[in-house]
Amino acid sequence: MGFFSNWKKRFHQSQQSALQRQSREGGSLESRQSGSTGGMSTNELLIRLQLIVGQNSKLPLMEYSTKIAALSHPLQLIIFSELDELIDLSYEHACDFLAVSASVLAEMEQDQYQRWLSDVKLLLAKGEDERAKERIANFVLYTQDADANVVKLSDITYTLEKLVYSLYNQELPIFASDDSNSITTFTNGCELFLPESISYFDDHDDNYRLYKALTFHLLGQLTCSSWQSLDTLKQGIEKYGDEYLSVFAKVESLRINCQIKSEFPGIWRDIELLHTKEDIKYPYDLFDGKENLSVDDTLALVGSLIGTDYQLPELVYQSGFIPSLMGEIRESQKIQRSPLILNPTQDVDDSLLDTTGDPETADRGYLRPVADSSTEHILSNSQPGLWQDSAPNGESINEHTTKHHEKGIYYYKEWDTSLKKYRKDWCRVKEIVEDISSDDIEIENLEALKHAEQRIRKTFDLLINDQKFIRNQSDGDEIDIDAWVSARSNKNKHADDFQNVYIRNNTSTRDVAIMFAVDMSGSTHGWKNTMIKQSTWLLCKTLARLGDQYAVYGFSGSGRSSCHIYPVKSFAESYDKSVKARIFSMKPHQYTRMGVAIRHLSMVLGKATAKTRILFVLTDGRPDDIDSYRGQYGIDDTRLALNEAKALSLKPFVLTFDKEGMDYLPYMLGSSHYQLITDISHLPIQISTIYKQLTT
Amino acid sequence: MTSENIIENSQYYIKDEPYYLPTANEVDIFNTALAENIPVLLKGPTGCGKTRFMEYMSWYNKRPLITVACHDDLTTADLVGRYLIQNDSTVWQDGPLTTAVRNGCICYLDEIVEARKDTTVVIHPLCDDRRMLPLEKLGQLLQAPPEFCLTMSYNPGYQSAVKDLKPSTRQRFISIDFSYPNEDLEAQIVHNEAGLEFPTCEHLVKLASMTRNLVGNGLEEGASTRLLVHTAKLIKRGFEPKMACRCAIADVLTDDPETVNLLHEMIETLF
Repeated sequence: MGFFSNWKKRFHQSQQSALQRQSREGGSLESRQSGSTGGMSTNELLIRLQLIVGQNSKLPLMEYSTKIAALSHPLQLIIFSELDELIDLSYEHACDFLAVSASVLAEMEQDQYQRWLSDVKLLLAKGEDERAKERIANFVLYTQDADANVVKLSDITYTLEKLVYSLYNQELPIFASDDSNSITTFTNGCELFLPESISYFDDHDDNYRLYKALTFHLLGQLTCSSWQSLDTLKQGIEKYGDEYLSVFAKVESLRINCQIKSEFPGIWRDIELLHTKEDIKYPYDLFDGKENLSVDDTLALVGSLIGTDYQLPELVYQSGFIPSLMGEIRESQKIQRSPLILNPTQDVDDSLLDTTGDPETADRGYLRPVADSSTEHILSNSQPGLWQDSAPNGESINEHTTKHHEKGIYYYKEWDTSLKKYRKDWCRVKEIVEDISSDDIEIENLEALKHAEQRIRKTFDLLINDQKFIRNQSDGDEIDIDAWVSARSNKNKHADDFQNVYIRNNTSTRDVAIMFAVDMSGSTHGWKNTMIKQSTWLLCKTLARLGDQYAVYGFSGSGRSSCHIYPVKSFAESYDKSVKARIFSMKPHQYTRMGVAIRHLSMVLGKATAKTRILFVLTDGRPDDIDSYRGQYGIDDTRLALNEAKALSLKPFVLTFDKEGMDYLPYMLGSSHYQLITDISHLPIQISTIYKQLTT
Repeated sequence: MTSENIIENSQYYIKDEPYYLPTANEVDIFNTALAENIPVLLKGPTGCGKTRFMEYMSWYNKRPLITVACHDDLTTADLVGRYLIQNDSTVWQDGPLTTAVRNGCICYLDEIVEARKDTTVVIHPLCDDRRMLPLEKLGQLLQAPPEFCLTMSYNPGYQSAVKDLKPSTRQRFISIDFSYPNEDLEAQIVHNEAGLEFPTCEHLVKLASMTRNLVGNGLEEGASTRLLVHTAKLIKRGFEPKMACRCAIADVLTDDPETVNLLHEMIETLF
């Protein structure tokens, strides 16, 4: 691998192609600022670094800036993005990251970089600061070709967690265990701990099988009620020492295997493959083919085996049985739902469970939510983003000590693509009604707009069907006598269209609610903003003709704790002078944290009662915010937010001016749910055309 | 009921006993409703056996069954009837609802919420103690015979603000809830329907339960009993279980590649 890695080459190629495009199209300064071309200068970098790490920092920021200046603009943005995120977790480690960042990006492949950073973040999350420091310093280890047979837990956590959820009907987050401990696979009843990576076998698939076997054995500890043995187990350990625990663990694993064999033949087949690889002589006859084995059977067998020469096999997938944790499991089982794997019982006090209604939401201490994560809050927050309190408005907000008692404040989760987890209550949204400068609005290009308005009205007139009866139909409620007479005369002339002799009652079935979510980020400054305002105004003016429900909200913000939504027109309001004034008061603000805006506006739209509910997002670029909300992170979170909107029976649609939109929109939305506008001056007419397509 | 109203309704009779395994007291409730002339509302997810239940009850009570699959464009005329042109004159053609009323059939309106709300209002006079159907275009008021029974089904899982029953309609019915049967019963149903060996049916049901746990977590709906029967039939015909599950369950439930992979992984654990 050369100094210029493939990854870096790719960035340079994209940079060059963007430059070529720009030179062809006479690209504006705006597009340069949007990060498509050109790296930042040393001075610019220095200023940005000082803003992030502090001016009084004793770090050699000039040296770092010089190194980073040699990188392309996208790579520079990646550094700032990660730096922002790491500072949230640990200032010291963020500084360490900054020291090596330029070298790391120059030397690592993308997947290596992501693995390295993900490992560092996970270690920090677990509070293992020293190990995280080592990982940052020893980044070179990650540049060596990874063993293709190694399976990393981080790569399969999502699948395993979902698999566990589908079986257990309850979230059991999976974490990497500390490999300095002798036992690396264990559970406390609420979480599963597995090795960070497995390279035990020479084959990748076998290592993955081992992960699955370990996971099912941990799940088996819970579903087979191993914890019920705790008291006897303690007595046995007192009497026989650790040997008792060791024999118990082996026999209990065999009992769990019996359960797996009968319930999950696929997993049992994997386990048997591992037996073959390990050349294990499995004691199939140990439980004498008994059915419905209980932990008492295990204890009875342990009692008979302890002190004898009977050799139990060493199972590579055997999970750890830790008495102290078994006590925790016993406590947790009192309030948890019985699992699917056993006969389910429903007599559970649901109020004790996480009632967010969102099993994907990770409630993990290391991900500090913006909101207070007290138990009271977690239990009371029945649906993300749907609670509000009525304390006085305008309370000063500290980013990490926010109170919940604020009016117009909502908290939403966010998808962390590197961790494959939702960050609970991560974003704080505030609805802000913009000040209206004056009701007397001067509109530019009024003549041109009048022409556009006429076009829009014509488009919408096609949607309005006031005709109650449609004549000359092949099928309908009534006979169209006129058509019949006409058809008869035509028949005499041997015409063959005499079947269309019915009248159909065409009661209007339009039942549409549409939410226009307008990007008000800083990049819309200038003529883009003017066009957006004019288009929104024309749309609002003409939409009343259709009788559709519609609302207009702007969105922007700066960081996860300052996500702002700007109501322009709510569903309840009708178009009037004040709405017009608010439209023309729309001005560019800061950044585009799109995911949270979509979540909030989906919630608002979800309350509208209409047969067709459309979330129409108008934006000029990809998701982007000052912290880590950039690149794949922002795209993945937005994608998830759009999927959540679909789950609410909303129909999302994105209209963008971003010429690079095709790079990410198909991924975010699938095909046919987006459109790219190349000439923004056509925006007013384009919107109405798309509106027609969407609602008919 | 006059003799000229009797339809050639042998086609509407269910001649052979359909396989139906009662999961609770739904058969008794339906028979009581039939005896007391109370309309019945069947609620439940797709593929859980609502239509099969109706066929079974039709066979059980030896009553003809007329089924109407409701849709967006279903008009009142589609239900009640309309004039048609025949030999240069107009003749009245009964709709399925009128036919059912005239002949004392069981009329089953499948997925009623798909029909427009103004259409469903026509059933109101039929569903209370009046039990009559106004035929406005004929100027007639049709009195339903005691044998007539109106039944509707809908899937509360689809329930959005749009797809809901008006309270005025809803409160004319008694409701029978058709959630998925418990695992043993469901395995028994799949076994009987497809003739597949019972243990494999149990694993199919386990897979269905796993997918149902993922509803709202990537899946809009879990695997229905109908899907399990399809899968079992494929397996019975010699398809490898994993392949059958992929074709008849995983790829049917979702198009999202990530969720499809997860479903494949579930299948791997069971087969």
